[in-house]
Amino acid sequence: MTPPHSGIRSNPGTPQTQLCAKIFIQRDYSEGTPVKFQNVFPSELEDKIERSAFEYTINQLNAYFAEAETATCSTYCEGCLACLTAYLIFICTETHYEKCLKKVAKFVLEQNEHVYVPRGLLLTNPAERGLRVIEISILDQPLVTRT
Amino acid sequence: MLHVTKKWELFPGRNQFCCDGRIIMAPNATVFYINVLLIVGTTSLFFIFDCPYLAMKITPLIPVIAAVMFSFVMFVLLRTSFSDPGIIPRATPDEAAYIEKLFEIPNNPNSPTHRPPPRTKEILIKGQTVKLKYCSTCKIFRPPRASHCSICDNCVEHFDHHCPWVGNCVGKRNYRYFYMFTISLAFHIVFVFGCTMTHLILLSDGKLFITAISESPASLIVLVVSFFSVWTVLGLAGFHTYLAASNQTTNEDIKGSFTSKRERSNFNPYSNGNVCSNCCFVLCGPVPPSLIDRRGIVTAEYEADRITISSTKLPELQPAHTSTIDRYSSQADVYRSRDGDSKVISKSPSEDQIMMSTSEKPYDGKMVDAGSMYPPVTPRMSGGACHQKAVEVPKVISIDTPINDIYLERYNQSKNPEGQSTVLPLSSIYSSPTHMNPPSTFLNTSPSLGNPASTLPSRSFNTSMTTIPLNEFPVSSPATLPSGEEILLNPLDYVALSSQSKKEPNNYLSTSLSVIAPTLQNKRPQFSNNTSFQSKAGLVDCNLGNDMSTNPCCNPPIDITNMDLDLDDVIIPNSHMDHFDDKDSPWLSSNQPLSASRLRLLQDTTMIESALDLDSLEESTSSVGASSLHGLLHKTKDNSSS
Repeated sequence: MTPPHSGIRSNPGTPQTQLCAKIFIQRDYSEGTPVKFQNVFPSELEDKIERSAFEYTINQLNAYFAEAETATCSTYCEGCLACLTAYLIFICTETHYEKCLKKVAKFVLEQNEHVYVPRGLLLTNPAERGLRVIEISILDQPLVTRT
Repeated sequence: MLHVTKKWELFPGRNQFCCDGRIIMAPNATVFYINVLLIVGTTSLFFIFDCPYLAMKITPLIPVIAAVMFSFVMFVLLRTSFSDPGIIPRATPDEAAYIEKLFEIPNNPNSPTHRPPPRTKEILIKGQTVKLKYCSTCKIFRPPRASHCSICDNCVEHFDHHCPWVGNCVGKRNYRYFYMFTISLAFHIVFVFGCTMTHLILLSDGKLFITAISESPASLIVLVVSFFSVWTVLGLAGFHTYLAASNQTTNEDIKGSFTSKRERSNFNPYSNGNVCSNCCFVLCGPVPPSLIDRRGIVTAEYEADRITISSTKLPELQPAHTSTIDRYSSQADVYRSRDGDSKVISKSPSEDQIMMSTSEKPYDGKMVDAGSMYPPVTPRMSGGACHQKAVEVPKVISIDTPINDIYLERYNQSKNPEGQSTVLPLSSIYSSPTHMNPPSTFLNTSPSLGNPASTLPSRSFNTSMTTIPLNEFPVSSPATLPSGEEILLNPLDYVALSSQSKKEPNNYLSTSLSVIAPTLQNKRPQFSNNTSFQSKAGLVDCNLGNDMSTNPCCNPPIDITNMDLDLDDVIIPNSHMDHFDDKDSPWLSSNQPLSASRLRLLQDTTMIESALDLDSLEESTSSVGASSLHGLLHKTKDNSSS
């Protein structure tokens, strides 16, 4: 097991998000279980980021996930082929979904670099949060003491 | 070589992992091994005793077909068993706190029936109302179709069922493998059964069937095994074909989620419309990725995030048969002189160990009502639950002393760097006059700040503890306490204290402390006297992990060490006077159970955040029931011997 750590060892390069306020964009289940996030602009982000920039990010993420989740002909072929090989093919190839997740990761990175970090925000890849939420950390705002 | 900790090693569920996290399985896979043994054994007998004859007599294709089918069955079975069924990772503390905030419904602070807000959320899916339940283990609102598996202790997406035969949950990610397994196994068994039957019939050509069996006795075994399994497997395959065609899960089918009831038309909002597209989507649709990143390397951020989860989950780590007391309640005895001086004078090990933190106790009397409103919980659920449990303890296992007062001691680390602490006596909230006695016993507990040995996560802002002195003593007003003079009982010391020998004189009050699992909750109700009973992010650095060697009572794997600072920690000293004979003790007369109204009040003031849904209840009762019994027995034994 890990040795007990004293204090925080932060990863060099990544901004410290442990102590700052966070906003969580929840999933939108109105169309069923496919991954989709609510694009309601949270009031906490008022005057921190333009509404359009935020909505662009969420919509773009939703589009990536929709691409990953919709069953097209190619995904069916992939599924059938995998089934015929007793799913052994998954050992050596990447699924369509994983490719889409890579696009998402790249997009999040790029958005952070160009839009969010300059505004003191940080977007966390939803895949790191189990596709439950999009976490937006407000870097310059300390965690509010909860009462 | 430096060992790199991977995330599966810290995984909060009960799954077992093999091959450095590549394989994930349910905790108990015995039935899975039996299953594998049956399939492999029967098929081997078939290959050895039936195939040669059939290959010669009929066609050499028979062993080839059987081999292909058998390997398909095995690959798909192993794939089902060894893959992540779609486990939803637990919420990070921040996210859980964010969700908690959603619960805060403006409530009348004076209302005596302050109820926890409902922990469900209703959403509309394609016009169909679906209720999302809050999972108190994973600290999330379960997505639609997800359910918490009580065996693996995870929320699983698209939860179908927990299948002991494949030794894993069946969920979103491995349903197609499972389905292919049942289908292919059904074909395989039918094939083997048919071939074996043919073999025996050909052997018995013109003779008695018995003689054919005596010629090839192994065929009989194959015949019997396949005959009995073929019906169940065929039934299962048929059932799952129906489920796949209607895009349902076993869970939903059993619960009847989509059957029309009470004049409300119910339909399956997840269905794609027709049978064919449902089947295709379920079986050949996009393959969702695993979300738990088992083989990822643990970073500081990840570790900090998971601290809360592991510490709130303490009872789960514990097999029911071990002495759970010692692991979860760090025992510390505080001896105090009777002059009312607020200093902690000396310490010694306690004699009574109370299963407070792990017991699930039956509710009796009025508590039944309260229990139905506030369902019983295990300590990992929330601090409020701990309160409730602590309050119940004197009643159920007859501790010598009643609880008289509660102090919330607030140690504001960031605002009062000198260690000033504010003590808020809460006795005013109690209506019962017998409990209006002023405070006497103080246990000032604070995190071991600056202690080099401590492993404080550094996210702390405020730390607070709730101490419940159990007895009344000459008064010392908390207000007169000079903050500097309070002896801060470092929870680290608890371990050391309890490991001390029992040589200490007995004419002190011994107080046993139970450190109970924390909660993420930060919100406390406002009381009628407007005392804001705020629990700030608290920490007990109860360093059981590091100093375990000094404490024979504590077994290592407790992870209270890394409690997150966002937690409230509750310390309940359960004290008894060693120098009093129990029978003569004046406290024995005051051993009456807390009045129902008081219990209710305590619950109202402390239980706000501990509402649960019944799903998680089932599992908590099952996992803790045995240990609580153990604890009760243990306690009774202690009492009778003393």
